[in-house]
Amino acid sequence: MKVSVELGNRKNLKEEKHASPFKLGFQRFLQNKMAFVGLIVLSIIVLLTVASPWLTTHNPELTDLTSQDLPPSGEHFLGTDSMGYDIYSRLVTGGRVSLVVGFCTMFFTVVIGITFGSIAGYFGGKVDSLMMRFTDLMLNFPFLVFVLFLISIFEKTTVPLLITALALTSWPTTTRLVRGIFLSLREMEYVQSAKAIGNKNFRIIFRHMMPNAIAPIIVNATLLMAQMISIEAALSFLGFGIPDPTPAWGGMLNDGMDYTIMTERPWQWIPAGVLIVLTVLSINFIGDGLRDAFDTKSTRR
Amino acid sequence: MSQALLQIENLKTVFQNTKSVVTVVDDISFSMNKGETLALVGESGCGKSMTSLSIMGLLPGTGKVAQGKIMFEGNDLTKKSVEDISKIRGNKIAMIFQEPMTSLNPVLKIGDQMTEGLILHHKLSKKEAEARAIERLKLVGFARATDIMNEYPHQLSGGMRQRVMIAMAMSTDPQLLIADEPTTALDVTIQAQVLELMRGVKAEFETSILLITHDLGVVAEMADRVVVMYAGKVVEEASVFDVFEKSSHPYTEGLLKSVPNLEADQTRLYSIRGNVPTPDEFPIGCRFAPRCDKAMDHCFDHAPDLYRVGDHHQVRCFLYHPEKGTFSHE
Repeated sequence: MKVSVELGNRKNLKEEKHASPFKLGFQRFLQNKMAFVGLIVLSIIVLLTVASPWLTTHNPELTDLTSQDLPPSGEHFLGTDSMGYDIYSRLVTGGRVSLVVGFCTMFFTVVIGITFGSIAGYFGGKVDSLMMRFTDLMLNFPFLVFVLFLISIFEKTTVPLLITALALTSWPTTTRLVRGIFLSLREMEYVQSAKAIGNKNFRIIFRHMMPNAIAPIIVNATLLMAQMISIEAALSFLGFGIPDPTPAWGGMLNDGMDYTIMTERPWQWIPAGVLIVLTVLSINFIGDGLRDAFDTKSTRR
Repeated sequence: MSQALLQIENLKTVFQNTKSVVTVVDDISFSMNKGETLALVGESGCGKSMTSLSIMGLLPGTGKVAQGKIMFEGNDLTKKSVEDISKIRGNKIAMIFQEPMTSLNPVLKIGDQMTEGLILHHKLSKKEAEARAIERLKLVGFARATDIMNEYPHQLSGGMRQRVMIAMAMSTDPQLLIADEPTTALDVTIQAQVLELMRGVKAEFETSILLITHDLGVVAEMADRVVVMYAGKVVEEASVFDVFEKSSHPYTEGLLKSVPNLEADQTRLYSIRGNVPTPDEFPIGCRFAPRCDKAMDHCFDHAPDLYRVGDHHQVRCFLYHPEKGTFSHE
């Protein structure tokens, strides 16, 4: 019974005419339940964050000293904190910082990684050694110290500063990954054959090799984004994040770092924590799903 | 004799790392005329592929042509700039690779890969290039060529892919087609088809084919002339008839003997003892001497030259030395 169902499924895949490897991969991705749930949860979170101006009940950046530490009520869905901020409004808006920092850091990291990695991997030899030694140097650079150093120079942490600091320290791993992929792709006969046709180097890199490298890069980028969101939250929690009054989930956790708040007013910090975990988890599930769908060598099906 | 299409003179290809220089192709000369099929024969590791990659300017890693000339239509390819070479590659000289399963890019449609060379070299528009590609696909036996253009390599079988490769190589009407073991990865029935196809293509476009192979059956079927290589050197050069009828070099004889013979009652297939030495441990004398049944003392410390034994038939072996009698025979 089960066999016939599976065969039926496979037939559907095959019947899709002229499906590119990407399309086939995407179909496999959608069949992965965890990844699909992750995609839905993440979409909801992104939608909430984008629609936050219409969802907030109070100005999330305005304190109201007459209503501090209120429990959840009809007016304040999740109560207020010790500064008098409306927690619900801050929660809906707070995703912006996390998502923007996560996405932009991932984006710049991948851009740097692809540029450096593809050039080093494709040309090899001296170019490769030179670039890789530099990458190794950066890889061994104490990441946290560098971020804290940058942030303390500029006194006030801003979103662009955070993105710059994170991207500048996280590109080496991606670069190494991309370089590895390009090193192995370079030996493929179709790359030789692209050269034999008379293509120029950059056309070979971008048209012939990049599409073959993009799947593992996307997987890496997804997981990287999740990692960056947790790092941003961690930095905020430590007090090096975006300062008040801008709402951020990590910052809200930091505000909850007080014995009485922790034990007696959990509504002030649990929702922020849950949202961080949900976001990171769903992105990780998506990443795993993408890996299973695109990496043909992975046996976990 | 008219001017040769491709003339290789004293070609020496080396791989260089910081410590040592390894010579993989050593002082090779041969020439090809228009419309001729030349087979380059030898065991794995004897420098056949490196010779072809030298011609294409596609030597991997630290490989480079250290000496010699590669004259193509009267121009020395070794002296051309990268720019000029990429104008010739894929245009006047095309190449078919050994492994059809990996020589097409898995993420690009057949059509995109087919038209690339045409757009690049012949400056055709996308439409014209597609029309030409479809025509060439029909030529190699695809009835539904228009459909194939929109398919991805994973939808085709090995034989189909190799046919696509041939169509692709032929799309720009090259004068010289380098086929690096084009049938090695295919099963026997498909092999015959592919060979038939290459012969047809050659007849129609008067393309010269440099056929690199270790399959003597393929040689007998396709080649006009044969160059036998061993350990980076040419050991015998002859017409295809001479090679099969009057093969002179012990190595060529050995190769011929190792082909299974249906008529002879063999219990065990002949094989040449030993292996091809790696390029960093070539013997000082004749490179084949350690594996040769007819080796003389002289062979181990003197390197033979190519000696003429007939019209267009040369052999690198002391057995054919004009004053052979002067060597002691043990």
